[in-house]
Amino acid sequence: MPALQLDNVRKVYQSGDEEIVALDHASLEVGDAEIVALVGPSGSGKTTLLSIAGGLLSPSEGRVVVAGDDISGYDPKALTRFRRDRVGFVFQSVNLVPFLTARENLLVVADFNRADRKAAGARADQLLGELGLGRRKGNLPGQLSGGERQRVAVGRAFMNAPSLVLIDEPTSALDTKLGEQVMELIVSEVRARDTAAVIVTHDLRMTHYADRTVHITDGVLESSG
Amino acid sequence: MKVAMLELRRRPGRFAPALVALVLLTLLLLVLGGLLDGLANGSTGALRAQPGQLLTYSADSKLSLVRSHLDAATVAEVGRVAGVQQVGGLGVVLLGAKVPGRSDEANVAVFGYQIPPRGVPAPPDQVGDVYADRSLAAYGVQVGQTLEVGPGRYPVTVVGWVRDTDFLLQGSLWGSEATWRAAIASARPDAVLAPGTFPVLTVVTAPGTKPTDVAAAIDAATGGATHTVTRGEAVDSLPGLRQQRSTFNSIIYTTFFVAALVVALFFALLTLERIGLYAVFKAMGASSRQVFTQVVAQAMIVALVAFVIGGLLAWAASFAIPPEVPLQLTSARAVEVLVGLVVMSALGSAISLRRVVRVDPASAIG
Amino acid sequence: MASADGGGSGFALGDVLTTASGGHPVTIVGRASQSQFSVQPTLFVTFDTYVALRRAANPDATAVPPSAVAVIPVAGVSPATVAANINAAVPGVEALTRSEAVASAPGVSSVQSSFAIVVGLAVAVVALVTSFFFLILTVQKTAPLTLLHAVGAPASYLIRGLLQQVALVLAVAMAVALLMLWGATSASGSGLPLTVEPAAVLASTVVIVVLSLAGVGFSIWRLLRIQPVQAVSRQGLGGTE
Repeated sequence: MPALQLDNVRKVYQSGDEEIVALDHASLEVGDAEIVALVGPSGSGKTTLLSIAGGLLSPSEGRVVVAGDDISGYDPKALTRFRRDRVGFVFQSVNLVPFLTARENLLVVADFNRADRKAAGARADQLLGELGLGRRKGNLPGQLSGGERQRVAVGRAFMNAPSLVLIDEPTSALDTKLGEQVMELIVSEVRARDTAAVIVTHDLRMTHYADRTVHITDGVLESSG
Repeated sequence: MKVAMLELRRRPGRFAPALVALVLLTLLLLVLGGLLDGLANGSTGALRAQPGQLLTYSADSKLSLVRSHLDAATVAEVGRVAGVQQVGGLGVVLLGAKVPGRSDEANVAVFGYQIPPRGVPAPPDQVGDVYADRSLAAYGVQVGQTLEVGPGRYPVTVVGWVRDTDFLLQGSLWGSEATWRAAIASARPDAVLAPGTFPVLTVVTAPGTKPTDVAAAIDAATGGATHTVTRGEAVDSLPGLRQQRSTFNSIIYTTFFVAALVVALFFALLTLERIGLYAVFKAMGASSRQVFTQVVAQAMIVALVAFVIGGLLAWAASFAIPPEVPLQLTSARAVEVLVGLVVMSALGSAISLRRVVRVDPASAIG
Repeated sequence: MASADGGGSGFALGDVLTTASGGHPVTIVGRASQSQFSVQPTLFVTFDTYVALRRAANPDATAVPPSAVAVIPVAGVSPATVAANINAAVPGVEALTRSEAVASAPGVSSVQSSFAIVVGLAVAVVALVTSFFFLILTVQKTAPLTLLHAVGAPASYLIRGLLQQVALVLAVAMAVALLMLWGATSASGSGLPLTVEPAAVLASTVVIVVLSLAGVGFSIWRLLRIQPVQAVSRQGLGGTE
């Protein structure tokens, strides 16, 4: 079962009198444990595609199926539940809660899930250990380096054991060396858990980490190996 | 929910402005309530303590204890009315009292009574013996002391304490009819009343009767020479009481409203600053309700903490306040302020609901 | 002479009054103002008339002594001195200057002190809350203000704009408040003894204006300390990193 299936998805925005087509008949399939890099310039629609795949936006037309669930027609409440249970996000600006420790940042997700606190705590500790943050888990984001913060964000994305991880420009704020480290980390985590991932990036140097690269320009997808 | 609590614990400074404002508001509310209760209780204690459901005044007195007087014949008539179980005379004279060892005089109300009010023992046998209200302790009065009341320096000896029986903010001294008459004769010859004449009667109604019916019957029996009212009405008719109560209550309600406004504005700003954070939460799968609950919970906790601090300050202040300021902090009033404050905070924070609902999780990306 | 206060008790010159206890009618020959006693309208009569009225009200009275004696000092001697002399020479009396007598009337100090405390607290609360409001309103505008600052608007321009806003809001608020106060005093009648002293209104206004400006001033100061370059960099979504 593919992790993600986009079928002729269109997203149209109304801006005053104008109609803006952010995504135009986009079709994409991401395999069960596949890593796909989505590359395009600013305004190409890659963020829109990521948002739709993650249930943050609803498509104007077309079908969106994530791990067998057709979310195209979900109402906001259903989408909220879907995001909580099925996908993980790594945001461009990291977006850690500044007054929570690394461990607590991971547990935020469990809070919303109303998951068993003990089990969640154990999972958080395990993830942080794997990410090399075992001894930093009691630190606040302000006390962590840029790379460490990114790792916490990656850990957070995996807390709910998602079927699909969506990553937005993970290296844009980092220098090349650090960027490569982060990409390696993300990829190894994704592979270790047999999850699928879509990584949005405008940095062509990072695409070799993915199984497949897909280009997008002006809302239109073109595939390349 | 835990995130909200952690923020309060880790970033208390963020909530400091709202907390300070709410502490001051709590203090104001408790002091207002305490003064209202103190002024009201200190004025009405003697009447509220009366054992009968009714009080009979003379018709022309406009329910003034000082102006009213009923002669012996009228008193007897009242006693004969059906539904009246017991009639007792009640008289008062307002005087200054010299307390041994003190240079300032205490303001006292010397009462003569026949039927003991709530918490007061039967009238002392010895003429000149009185029970003193606890409020007089603040003026140095002690049991066993002899006070000299009025310009004639009539001596009265305190033989025990009673509580919550003050009259018109003057400390009450409860003595037999003879004691009261002697005090008047000494201090206020113009207010002397003939034996058997009392200003006011306390009327105990027979069980099973409706007090208002008995009141009407009494006034009818005396041919309109009396005006009989329930104890509650008598209390309410004390001069200035109603106005005092409405003044204070309007200030109190306004203050509650201000508290809601403070919380509303503060949390509106806080929400505005945190829109990004809320977008991330929603992107991760938090519902608007979960996010909103956190906001309300924080508001209520800030209110609770403010109440505790404000309460402690008010309690400390009550020791520093001079005795002539009748501040009475009751637990009933404290509960009222606590509940009001917490409810107002919840309502105030609810103003952020629309904002929270409108936060678009998609804004967390890009 | 009748006091004219007390919410218009409806007495006019020439009226003949009989007290509730009957006997001794009294004719109003003049009006006095500011002479209520215990929130009651007052009649000023000769002492003999007073005695007669007292006896009519209480036939059992054995004597009607005066409650107090008014003393006019000889020219050149202060009232305080005369009071002290009397206290020293005459046992069993207390001589007070007029203002002392007013202050020591039973219940007066209680109510006065009570209200003083309430007013004090209320002023503190109102002042703080108002200043707080303005602080918050200005803080909310930090982003656009910093931006303006970054693109070249001088500090004086920003400050002037803010102060104009504050002045306008305060003016409208004061106007509404004064209207409501006027309404309240007209409506209170004899119920609530409400008098509005211009001095008090002015003082309150000044306090509120000063503290509002302080609130605004503080946030402007904070604002000007922010480097304009921060307006250009990606501030992101606030509250997160």
